[in-house]
Amino acid sequence: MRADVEQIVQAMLRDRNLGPCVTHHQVIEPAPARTEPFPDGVHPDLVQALGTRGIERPYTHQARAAEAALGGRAFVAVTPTASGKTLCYNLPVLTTLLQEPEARALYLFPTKALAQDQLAELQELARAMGRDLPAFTYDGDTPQDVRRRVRNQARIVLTNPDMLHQGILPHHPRWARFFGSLRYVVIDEMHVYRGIFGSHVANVLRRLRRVCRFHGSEPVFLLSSATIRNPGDLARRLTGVEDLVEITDSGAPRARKHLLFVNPPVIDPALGLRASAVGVARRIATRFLREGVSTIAFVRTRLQVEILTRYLKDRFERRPDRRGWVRGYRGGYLPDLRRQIERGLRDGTIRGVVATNALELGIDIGQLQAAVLTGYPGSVASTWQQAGRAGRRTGVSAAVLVASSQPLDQYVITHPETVVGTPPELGLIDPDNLHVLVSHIRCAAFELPFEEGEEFGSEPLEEILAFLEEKGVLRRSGRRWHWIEDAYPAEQVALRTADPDNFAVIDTSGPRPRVLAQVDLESAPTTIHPGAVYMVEGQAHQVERLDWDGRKAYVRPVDPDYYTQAISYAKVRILDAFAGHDLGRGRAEWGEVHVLARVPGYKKIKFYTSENVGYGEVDLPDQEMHTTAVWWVFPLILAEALGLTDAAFLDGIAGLGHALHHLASLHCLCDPSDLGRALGDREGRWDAGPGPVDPAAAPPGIEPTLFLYERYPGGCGLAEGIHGRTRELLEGALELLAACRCESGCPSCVGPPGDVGPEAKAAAQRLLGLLLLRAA
Amino acid sequence: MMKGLAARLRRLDRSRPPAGSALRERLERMDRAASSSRRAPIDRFVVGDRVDTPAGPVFRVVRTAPASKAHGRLPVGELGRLPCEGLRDLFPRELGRVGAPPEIAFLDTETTGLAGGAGTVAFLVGVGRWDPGGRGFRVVQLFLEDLDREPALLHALARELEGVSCLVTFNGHRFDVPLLENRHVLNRMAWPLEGAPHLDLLPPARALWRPTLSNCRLVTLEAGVLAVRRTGDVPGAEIPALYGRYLRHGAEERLGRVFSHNRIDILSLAGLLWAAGRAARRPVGPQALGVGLLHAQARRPDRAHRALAAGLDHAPSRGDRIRALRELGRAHKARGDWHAALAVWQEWAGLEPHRLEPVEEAAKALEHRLRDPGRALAWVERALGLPHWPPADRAALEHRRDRLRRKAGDRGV
Repeated sequence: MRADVEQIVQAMLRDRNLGPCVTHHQVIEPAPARTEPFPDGVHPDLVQALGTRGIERPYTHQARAAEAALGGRAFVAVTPTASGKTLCYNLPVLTTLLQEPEARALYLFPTKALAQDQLAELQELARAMGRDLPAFTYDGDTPQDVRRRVRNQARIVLTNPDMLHQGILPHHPRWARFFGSLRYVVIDEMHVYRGIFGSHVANVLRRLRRVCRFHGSEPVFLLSSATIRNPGDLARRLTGVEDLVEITDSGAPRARKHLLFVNPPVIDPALGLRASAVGVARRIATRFLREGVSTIAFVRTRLQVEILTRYLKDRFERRPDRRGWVRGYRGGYLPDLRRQIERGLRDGTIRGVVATNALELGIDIGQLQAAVLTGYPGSVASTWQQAGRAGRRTGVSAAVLVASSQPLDQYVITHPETVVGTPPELGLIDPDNLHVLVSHIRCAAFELPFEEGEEFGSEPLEEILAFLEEKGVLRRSGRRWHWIEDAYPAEQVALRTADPDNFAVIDTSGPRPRVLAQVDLESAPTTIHPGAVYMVEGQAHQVERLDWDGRKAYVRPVDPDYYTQAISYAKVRILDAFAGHDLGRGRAEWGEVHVLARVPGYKKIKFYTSENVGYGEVDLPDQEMHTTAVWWVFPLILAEALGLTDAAFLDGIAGLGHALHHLASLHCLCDPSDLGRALGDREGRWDAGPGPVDPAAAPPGIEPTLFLYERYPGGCGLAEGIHGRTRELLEGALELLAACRCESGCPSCVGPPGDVGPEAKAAAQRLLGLLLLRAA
Repeated sequence: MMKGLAARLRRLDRSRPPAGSALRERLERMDRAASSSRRAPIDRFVVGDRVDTPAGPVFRVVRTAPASKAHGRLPVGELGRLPCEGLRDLFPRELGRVGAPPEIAFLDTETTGLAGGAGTVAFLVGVGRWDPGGRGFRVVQLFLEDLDREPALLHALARELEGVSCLVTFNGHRFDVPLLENRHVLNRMAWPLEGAPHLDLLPPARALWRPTLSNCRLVTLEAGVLAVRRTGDVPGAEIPALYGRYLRHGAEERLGRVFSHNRIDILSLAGLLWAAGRAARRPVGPQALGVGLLHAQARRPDRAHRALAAGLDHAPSRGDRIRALRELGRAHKARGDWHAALAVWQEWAGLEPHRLEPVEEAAKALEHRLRDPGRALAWVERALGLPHWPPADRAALEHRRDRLRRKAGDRGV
C-alpha cells in the first residue's frame, strides 16, 4: 500500500533526522470554486464550445475580466498558477473577433514556447466553435514565406516583445491592415517584465501605441500576472494606460496543501557548514517519488538541474521499465526535447522533473502533487509560483522549500515571515531610464517622424530630439524630426541581456555531428570551456574544443566521477564617479565602471561527496562591459589604526563584500545574481583575483576598493539605489554579523572559511565600526 | 545628484571628447553655423526644374537618350520596339498587357539606407520610358530636397507612372517596390501601381547570365552583357551617406554623380530587358538553358523543350544540368512526347540516383501511357536495388513495386 502526500508529510515531520530541520510548517486550507453564469455579451458560440469542454460556468475572476474588456476597459488579472487565467483574455478577445470580421488581436508572451502553447489552445477553441480564426505565431522561427501570410491574414498574432521590437514595429507599414484594426493587446506573464527588461518593454509598448494611433486604432490592453505587490501600478507603468481594472480575487478552487521550510542540518558547527541543499532536496524528492507522487524539483542553476537529475535517475531508473521516469528541464535544451518533456508531464509518463525557473512560467505541464524548491528562488513571488506547480483541484499537495547555505536563504529559512504572510515583491520598472528611453526614441523616430508637441516618456522630448539631431541621427524639417541615419536602430537595442548569438553544443561521437544544446554567450566561458564537463539530462559530456568565433563547442559523452565548476572573477575600473561622500574614515561613491570578466580555470568536483579532486586551466577571451557600480574605498593606512595586518584588513573587506552583496539584493528587491562583486584598487592598479586575497601581491599605497556592479550593460539604476541606502546597508551588515553565531565566518555572513581568511569576520566588524564611527 | 538632462544625455554619448576640449567644441559650433548659412541647393550641381504638385514643388531632372545613340551594345532606338515577341513569350504574365513601348516603366531608387523598414526613404526616384514624340528614351528623376517634401515627390511620381502597364526593376520585388509602398502608407497615399504587373529582372538575369558571369550585380551584368563601362561612378554603398551630408551641409559635386549613376542603372535595366529578348528569339549558346528555364516557368513547354535541349549541349555544371533535365522531362511530358521524356528521365536518374521524381515519372509513363507495366516494374526494381533510400521514399517505391507486380502478374507477364 503506497503512502499518500498527507502521510508522507506527516512522516517527514516525525522523522528523527528531518523533523527537527523543519523550521516552518503550515497548511493551506481548501477553498471551493466560485463560479457564475457567463456575462452578457460573451459570444454564444464561444459559450457553447466551452460547454463541450466541460466549462459550464466561468470562475468569478474570469467573468469580471470579460465584463471589463467587453466594456472597453483594460484589466490586469492576478491569479495563482492554474486558475484559468487564459480564459480571462480569451473570452473577450474571441467574442470580439467573432462579432467583428475585421478585428484583430496581438498576444505577447515572454518566450516562444509560451506562444506555441497558447496557439494550440486557441486553435482548439476555434475548432470547437467550428470557426476559422487564423492565428499564427510570429517570431524568429517563422519562415520568410509564411511571414507575408501572417501579416495579411492573421486575426491573432502571438509573438514576444523582442520580435515586436525588432521585427514588427520597424516594418509597421507592411502591417498597416493589422495595426489599423487592432482591438486588443494581450500581455501574459506581466510580472516577468521587471527591472531593466520591463523598462525596455514599456518603451516598446509606447512605440506600439504610437504606431497604432498612426494607423487609426486604440487597442485595449489585457494583462495577466503572477502575484506581485503592485500589479496595477506595474500594469499602468508598462502600458501607459491609466484606466485599468485590477482583478485579484480568484474564484478558482484550492485543495489542501502543506507548506514546509527545511533547513539542512549543520554538519560542522565550527566551520558553520550545513548539509548541501541539493542533497537534502534529493532525499525529500525521493520520499515523494518512491510512493509514485508526481514531483517537480526546482533548483537554482542549470548545473544543479543536471546533478540532481543524475542523482534521481541513478535512484529510480535502474529498472528498465522506469527509463525516462525522471527528466531534467532547463533553458538551453532544444525546443523539441522541451516539448517532449512537457507532454510527458501532462500525460503522466514522466513522474519527476528537475527544473530551473524555466518551468516557473505558465507552460502547461498539468498540475503535480509535490514541489521541492532547492534554495530560496530569490523572491516571494517566485516562491509562490514555484510552490504553485504542486496542487491539484482535489487531493492533498505539498511544497517544500530547502534552504541553501547562502546568507539570503539562511535569513529566509529562519525568518519564514519574510515569505509567508509578507506581501510579495514590487515589480519595479523605470521606463524613463535615460539609457533605455533614448534608445527607444531612436527606434520610434525610425518608425514614424516625431511631430512638434508629441510626447514620449516624461523627459522633455524636444531636448532629446535636438540632441539626436546634433548627433546626425535625426533631421528636423518643418515641424517634424526624421530619421536619417543609414542604420536599423532596433538591431542595436537588445531588450534583455541574453545574446542572440548562442553557442551550439555539438556531440561529435556519433556518425554525424549532432546539436545537443545551446548556451548563451554570458555563460559560455564558465560552462563550455575546454575540459568542462557539460551535462544534458544527467548525461555527462566533455568539451574537447571550443570554437569561440564560430560559437560552437564540440563534446563527447564521458562517464567521469566528477563535474566541473569554473572559477571566474571580475576586474573593475572606474570610468567616472557621479557622486560620493565620506563615510567615517572611508568613502562611498557610485558611477560608471568598466568590468572585465575572466575565467582562469576550473575545479573538478566529485559527485555525491563534493570533494575537490583537481584543477584545470582555461584560456578564453575576456568579457567586457560598461555599467554602473557602487563602491567603498578603504585606505590601507587604516589597517594600522584598526590594529589589523594587511592580510586581515583585506580579508575583512572581502568578507564585508559577501554580506553587503546579499543585503543589497534584499534591499533593492533584485536577485543576487543581478549584481557582481569585485575587490580592487580605486585607481585600478591592483585586483584581488579569484579565491582568498593574497596581500603579498598588493603593491604598496593601494586604496582597496569594494565594488558592487550591475550585470546589465549600461546599468539600470540599482547602483544609484544602493548608494542612496549606504548607511542602512552598513547598519544591517553590522546587525547580521553580530547576530551570526559562527566563529569566524560562515556562508550566512562574511562567507565560508576557505573563501575568506580566518580573521575576516572580526575584521569586517571592526571595519564597519570605522565606517559608521562606532566602536565595534 | 541628478544633473540636468543635457549633461545626462552627454554622459550617454561616450564617443564624445571629454569635457574641456574647448577647441573641438568651438570647431563644431563653427562648422554647424557655416553649414546652416551656406547650404548649397541641388541645382548648383544638377540641371533641373521644380514642378508643381498639389503637395508643393519637387525638383525634377529630365534627360532623353536619343534613338540614334548607343548604351554599350544597346542601340537606344531598339527600346522603341519593346516588347518584342520573344519577350512576350518569356514573360507573358508581366508583359502580356503591354500595348506600346511607352507602357513599360523602368524604375530605380536611391535611398537613405539599405536595411529597409519604415525609416528608409527613397530620396531619388528615376523612371525611364520610351518617348515616341521625342524619339528617345526619357528618364525623369525626382529628388527629395528635404524630408518634408515627400508627398510632393510621390504626387509627381504618380504622374510619371500614368499609363504604365508594366513596371520593370532590378531586385524591386524585395527592395524598391516594398519601399515605395511603405512611403505611400506613411504619407497616407495610395501606391499607383497597386496590383499592376511588375517584372523584377534579377531572377531572369540570374537564369540567363549567372552561369557565364562572376556575380549578378547590375554593374557586372551591364559590363558582361551590354559592354557598358562606367567612369567616375559613385559606389552604391556610399550613396546613403552622401544624401545625409547633403541634408546637413548642402549639395556637392559628388551628389550630382548620384543622378548619373541612377540614370545609367535605368538605361542598363532597359538594355538587359532588350538583351533577354534577343536571347529568347534565338536560344543558342550559354543563354539557351536560361531561356528554356524561363519558358518552363512561364508554362510554355512548346518553347521550353527546344531551348532546354539546346542548352544541354553547352555542358553546363551538374546542378544546371539536373535543373534542365527536370524541366525538359516536364516539357516533353506536357507535350506528350513520352519516348523523349523517358530518355531524359533516364539521364536524370543516372545523375541523381536517389531522386524519386525521375523514377516515378518514368514508371507512371510506362504503366499508364505506354502500357508497359513490365518495364515500369524494371525501373522501380532497379531503383530499389540501391541502398540508402530515405525511409519514406523507399516505402513509396515499394508500394509502387508491389502494385506493379500484381498488375504484371495479372497479365501473366
